[in-house]
Amino acid sequence: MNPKLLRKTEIAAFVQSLAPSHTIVAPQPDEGQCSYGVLSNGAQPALDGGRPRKSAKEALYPQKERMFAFEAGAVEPCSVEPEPPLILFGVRACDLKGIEALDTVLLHGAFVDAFYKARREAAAIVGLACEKMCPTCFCNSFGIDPYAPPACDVNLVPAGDAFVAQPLTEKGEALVASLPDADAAHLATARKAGEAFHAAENPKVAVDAFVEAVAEVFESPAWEGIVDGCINCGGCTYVCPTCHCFDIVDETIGHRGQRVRAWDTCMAARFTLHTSGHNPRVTPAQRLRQRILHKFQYMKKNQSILGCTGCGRCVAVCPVNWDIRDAIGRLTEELSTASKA
Amino acid sequence: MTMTMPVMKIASDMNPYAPMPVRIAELSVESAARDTRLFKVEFLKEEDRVRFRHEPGQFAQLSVLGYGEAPISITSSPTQPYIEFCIKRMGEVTQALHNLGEGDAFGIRGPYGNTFPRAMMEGKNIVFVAGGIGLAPLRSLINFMLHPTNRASFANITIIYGARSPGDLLFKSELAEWAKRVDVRYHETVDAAPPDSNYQGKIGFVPTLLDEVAPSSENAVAITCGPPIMIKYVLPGLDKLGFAPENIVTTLEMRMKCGIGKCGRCNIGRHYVCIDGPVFTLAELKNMPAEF
Ligand SMILES: Cc1cc2nc3c(=O)[nH]c(=O)nc-3n(C[C@H](O)[C@H](O)[C@H](O)COP(=O)(O)OP(=O)(O)OC[C@H]3O[C@@H](n4cnc5c(N)ncnc54)[C@H](O)[C@@H]3O)c2cc1C
Ligand code: SF4
Ligand code: SF4
Ligand code: FES
Repeated sequence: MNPKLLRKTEIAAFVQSLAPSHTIVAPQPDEGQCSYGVLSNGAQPALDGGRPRKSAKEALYPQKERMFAFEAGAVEPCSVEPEPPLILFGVRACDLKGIEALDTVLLHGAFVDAFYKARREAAAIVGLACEKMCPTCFCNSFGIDPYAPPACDVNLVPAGDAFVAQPLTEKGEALVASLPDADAAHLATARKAGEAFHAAENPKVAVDAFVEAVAEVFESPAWEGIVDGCINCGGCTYVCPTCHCFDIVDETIGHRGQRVRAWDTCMAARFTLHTSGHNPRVTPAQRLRQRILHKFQYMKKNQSILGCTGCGRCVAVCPVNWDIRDAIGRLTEELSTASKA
Repeated sequence: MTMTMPVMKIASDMNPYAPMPVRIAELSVESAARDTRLFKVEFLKEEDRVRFRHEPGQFAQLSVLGYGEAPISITSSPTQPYIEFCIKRMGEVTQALHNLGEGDAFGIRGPYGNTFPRAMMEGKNIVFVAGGIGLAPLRSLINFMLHPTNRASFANITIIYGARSPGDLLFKSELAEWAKRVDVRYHETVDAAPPDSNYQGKIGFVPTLLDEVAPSSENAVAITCGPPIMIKYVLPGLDKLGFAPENIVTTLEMRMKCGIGKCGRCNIGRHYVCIDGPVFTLAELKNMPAEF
């Protein structure tokens, strides 16, 4: 499929041309940083704003979503009009990988999440390669390469005053069909961007050794040791591209109401609290262990994918500077000595 | 900045979170404390009735719109032509269910979860050990086994059941029938009986009764469910009688929301109680982290 050229000056017009028939989600300026959001008419995506504050999962799996409405004790029948399909425009590689992880949970297994499936199947996803890694991210440790990205329909690679738009699927090819072919000079610049990214010295976290170390050890004082001031606020789970746990709650006004699904966090004590008062996870260490083992052991065994893409958002957002990279290092050391002892 | 996505609508029959409407056909108070009721329900829509096929051990998510949902074992056997739930009033949703009367509607989704491993029970002696509301999930299997078409597939059936007080013994008329049957060895006990009751039976805890009855573990499977404190003493009791962990079956509770393996709430290690459970053998539980 021919690489196409998207000039920076023409991004707004290009996105606009897709807009009438699609809902477009793209990074936008947000208090000095950027966040993914639904693009309003004529707005310019902020493709140079660095890593968006929250992950792109919200577009496919909103923080709060209505499952159905009800009135006077009965579920309201709903007429299903198709929504305009989504275009996720300018999604970072860590978030592409995150979508892959969400797919394994919400699209597969004995039951399918119809809401996620409807959005996901209609969506076109345009990736965006990073020029350099952020100080908190460690996607390289997971073998994620923004220049050979996880599944997406088109990947945008920076090329000076333009992006080279490489279609990767038929859907992607159709999406960028109206753009001119990329010229040799821009292709060369894009190639150099990739080379520079790969040549940069970025520290890595030893993920494989960690996955091996946590495979067998559930009971260990090491878990207590990594709590490190974590106040269980759950902020880390909300910004994470792979965290997918949710609550189901009813909201009512008079006789009318709706049942909604809302993101929840395993870091909260009430997450597992039984009505009897019994709670299988009472301590912060137990809850941190759950968060880490879910990502690095349970998902690996159940879904054959890791629940961390090294996006580093949890590191950036944490009010007490809890750093998953440090925790991985310390746990690897302590758990592997423990299992050898 | 929160992203507001357009509202997605999914037709009810494709929506895994939408309950099917049912009507309470019959309601009975099961316990002296009036905190446990038996709900016999019928589907409001014929297609739901046809589609809903459960096996002993499974549960459903019961929903009262405006209050929420609670996972409840299907206590009726698939050999019975109706669906029953036995519900103890605990919190918000179970209270809302208790506020309903005969003829009122509520919603159910399911059936969910795995089933009692019946294949490994065939031809064996079966020992049921239940305490309190723990009889509710086992009752589905008991009545399945006692049904004329299935009875011959199982050897001796022993039922050991206990409750706090005589008034708290659930399914009383059924207990009386089991006690009368020649092909069932039925034993019951209560923790204590008020002086004014005309209770003639045993007084004591379930684990003690298990020791006394001492069912043989020879070619036998034990199925147990009850409050954690009972299970804590029943398991060593079964072990002493020679039941191997593979031949001890139990059913677990964890806090649940989706019931379909998505919301990430009910796991014990990598296993989700809503889809991999709620039924586990003791051998399986021994391979799982002790986090339940
Ligand atoms: C597989 C399974 C089978 C069950 N079978 C029965 C039964 O046959 N009869 C019966 O009386 N009870 C049963 N329970 C327990 C019953 O689900 C809880 O008592 C009930 O959810 C409490 O809800 P509530 O709204 O009244 O309490 P609240 O505290 O107001 O509710 C909070 C919410 O938390 C969840 N929750 C709280 N405690 C539990 C718990 N122990 N288990 C699961 N979810 C919980 C539910 O989503 C509930 O709606 C079963 C539980 C499970 C997991
Ligand atoms: S953001 Fe930090 S303090 Fe909050 S739960 Fe996560 S690790 Fe703990
Ligand atoms: S755990 Fe942290 S670094 Fe890993 S994907 Fe989630 S937010 Fe990113
Ligand atoms: S109840 Fe949602 S995953 Fe089990």
